[in-house]
Amino acid sequence: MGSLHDQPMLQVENLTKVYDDGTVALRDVSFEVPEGQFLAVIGLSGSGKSTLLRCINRLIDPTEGRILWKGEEITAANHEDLRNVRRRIGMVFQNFNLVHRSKVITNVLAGRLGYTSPALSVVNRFSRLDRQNALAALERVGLAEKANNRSEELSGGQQQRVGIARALMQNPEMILADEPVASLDPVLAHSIMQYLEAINRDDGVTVLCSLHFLDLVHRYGQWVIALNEGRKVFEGLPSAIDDDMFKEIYGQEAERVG
Amino acid sequence: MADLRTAPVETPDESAEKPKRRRPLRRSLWLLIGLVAGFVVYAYGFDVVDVSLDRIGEPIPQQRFTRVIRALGSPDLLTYETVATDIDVEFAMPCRAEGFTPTATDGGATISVSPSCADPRAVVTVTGEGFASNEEINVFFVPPNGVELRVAQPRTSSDGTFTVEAHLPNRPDDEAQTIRAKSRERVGSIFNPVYVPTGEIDAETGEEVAVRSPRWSQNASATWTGIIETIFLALLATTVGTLVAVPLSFLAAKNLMSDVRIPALNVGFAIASFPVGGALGYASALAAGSVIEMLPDSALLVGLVTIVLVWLGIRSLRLAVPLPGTQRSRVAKVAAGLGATAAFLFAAQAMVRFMEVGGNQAAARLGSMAFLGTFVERLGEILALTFGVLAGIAGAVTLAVLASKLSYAVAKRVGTRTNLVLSMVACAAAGAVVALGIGQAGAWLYQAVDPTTTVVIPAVVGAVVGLAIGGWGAIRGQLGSGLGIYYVFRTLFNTLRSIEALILALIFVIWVGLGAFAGTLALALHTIAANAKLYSEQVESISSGPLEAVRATGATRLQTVVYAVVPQIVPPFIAFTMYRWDINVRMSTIIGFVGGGGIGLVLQQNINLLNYRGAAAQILAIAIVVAAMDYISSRLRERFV
Repeated sequence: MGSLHDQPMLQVENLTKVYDDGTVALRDVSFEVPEGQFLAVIGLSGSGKSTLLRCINRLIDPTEGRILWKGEEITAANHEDLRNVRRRIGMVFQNFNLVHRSKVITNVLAGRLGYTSPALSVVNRFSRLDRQNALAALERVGLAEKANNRSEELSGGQQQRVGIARALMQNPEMILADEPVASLDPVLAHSIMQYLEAINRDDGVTVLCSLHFLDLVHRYGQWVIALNEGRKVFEGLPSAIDDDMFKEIYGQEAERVG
Repeated sequence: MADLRTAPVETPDESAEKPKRRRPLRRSLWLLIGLVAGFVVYAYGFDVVDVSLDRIGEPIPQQRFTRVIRALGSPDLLTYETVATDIDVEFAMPCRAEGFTPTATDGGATISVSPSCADPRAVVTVTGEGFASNEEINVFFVPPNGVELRVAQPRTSSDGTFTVEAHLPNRPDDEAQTIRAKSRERVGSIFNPVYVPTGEIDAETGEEVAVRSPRWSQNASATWTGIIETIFLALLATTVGTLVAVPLSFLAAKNLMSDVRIPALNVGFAIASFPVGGALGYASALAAGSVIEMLPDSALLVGLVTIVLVWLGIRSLRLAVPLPGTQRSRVAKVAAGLGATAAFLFAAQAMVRFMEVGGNQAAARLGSMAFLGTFVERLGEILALTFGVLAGIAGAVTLAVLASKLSYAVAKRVGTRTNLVLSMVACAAAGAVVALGIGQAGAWLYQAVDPTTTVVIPAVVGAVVGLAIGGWGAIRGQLGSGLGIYYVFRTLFNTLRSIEALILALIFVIWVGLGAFAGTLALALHTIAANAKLYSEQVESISSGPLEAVRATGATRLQTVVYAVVPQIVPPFIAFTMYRWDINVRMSTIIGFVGGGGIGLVLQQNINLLNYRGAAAQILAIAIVVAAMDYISSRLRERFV
């Protein structure tokens, strides 16, 4: 896992998150992500994967610890700096999180909001270039002909592809994918993962992807970190997860099925 | 595919399994107590509301009830011209020794009296036949001097006959007297109207004036005017209320506001700069207004000036907010922004002036459509009145935003300790400003003139509280100012909402006088409070996923609202607005009872005059309009949602 640069793209140091109700979601998690890596984050539901990804773009404010992205301390950013950081980090969600009543193209253009002056975007005004890029992004995920459909008319797999197109609109340097295929059937899962893989391989975008299925981890992940009850319990190559490791990550009662 | 999720291992939940059983005796005891308690409650309720079913059956109340219901059944909508026919029969009072033969004078109808002579104050039976069916007949006793004394008022049955007992007066006389039945026959019918000459001569044409029979009664036209007034009263109130309620509702939505946390320094700077911005905005609006006022009263000229100013404003706005990708220096952007602000300020004043002047001149030329011009003129006047305040609010908000931006820059340059001191100072100033505002409001309300209580004490207390909050916020990092705003607006809406529109109408009637305007203001205010709460609850119930996704792209709060919140709330907002219009139409029918104009005023007058047939017309109109509104609004809701 060689990095081309001395400085890793993302450094997470001693990250801890305690929610207001006292739930400890992350305990002292540290790891580094070199530029261009496809990192898989695994763990049971409730192990802190989503919290971890959301701390990175500060959708959730961590309680303790530091996150450095390209040397910039995200955890100390005020909300103007945060806008500059967030717009370079795309995010893909388990439930796609499209605005259902809006058109597909509008959902994709929303990826451009971080670069658009608020005054202009309020009157729904995007530059011609943005519109062209949005169509190109939809083209890339094979949905150009659906541009003017309402998002709710699309199937789950199509909605997730729109979600990816939205992330692409940000010209991201990194993509956070929060269980992007957990709501999809296995065939679609591979199709979505292949889009993410292509973005990682062809565009050199760093990807942090939380996953449920171990075969997806083996197939797409270059590096794995595993969380259990908010603690990092494993970090290494996907091939290093043997049966003992599996039991440690998923608990003694877990069985590999399928 | 290897599923990694744990195989479900059932661990029985013990607390849920624990049997909760009361002993049967105790249970029936509780049941008994419950029944007794219920009995006491309903008995007391009967006593309090004075339930007396026996009253319903008593004859006098029943007669009153029947009268009212029958009146309501025949609403006063049409006026008929009538033709009176007199049918006389001779009568002797008292009876004479020599024989007496009553002779009926005629038309088609005849009446007879039995007996044909009687003592004073006797009761005789009058029967008639050959009349129109279901007609009101007036039966008179006519002494020789010709005065008509009414003795009965029967109604004919469907075959045109009647029988009635008449109580005769004490008028004995030697000459023959008369019993007279007067029928007033309606002329014309709805499907076959006729024109009845009135005998008056029109001065211009020299022809005799004829009136249509039947025609709309005076009550019908009053009902029409009232119901139209009511519908538009509700429409205006709903529109104004909605326009204000929609933006305010976002401030009262917890999901949008709870994560608004701002550094104490920004809060202090923003609030402290608020009055300055307000004063600046207000003053510059007035200044712009007085410049525009110098233009001559020519709609054409003022219109041209408006267009040029708007064009200038848009040009400089383009410079100030370049499309992404264009580079421009900060100074140029700020200068262009200031230019655009000035241009739009003048343009707005010019437009207001154009509306006043143009509306006035148009009204003079439009003839029967003059109300269109007057509407524009009135709108202009309203805008002119409110423009200073609006500009003040805009100025205050703008300066507060700029101050907040400035404090980010300041915070970057200074250390933690300086930041703490600055935050405390800024928040102390902010606290003093807020407290001074409250102090001044108190001074106005209680007409206090002592500067110690209205200025010094509030300023000191506010500054101390601000100092503490500032220090606390600077140490904690951020202030949950969003939640503060949320609670302020929630409380405001809940308080305002609990005051019924009827009571608000009473206050506005005192303020602006009787009439539909007072009603409109009352309903509008109530709509703001009620709908802002409903809307904000809708905002709170939207799905948070899209919100999160748009936020993750680096969108600002405003952009997040526009792209993730607004698309989700359009259907429920339309539904609630339609529903509120529906409610407002119903409310405005009774808001006239307290002087708020509309059909309620007419209805109340008729009820007070015991003119139930008149009131029936208004009740009918209300029923039709409410039913129609209900139908239309449900159809529209189906379409939009």
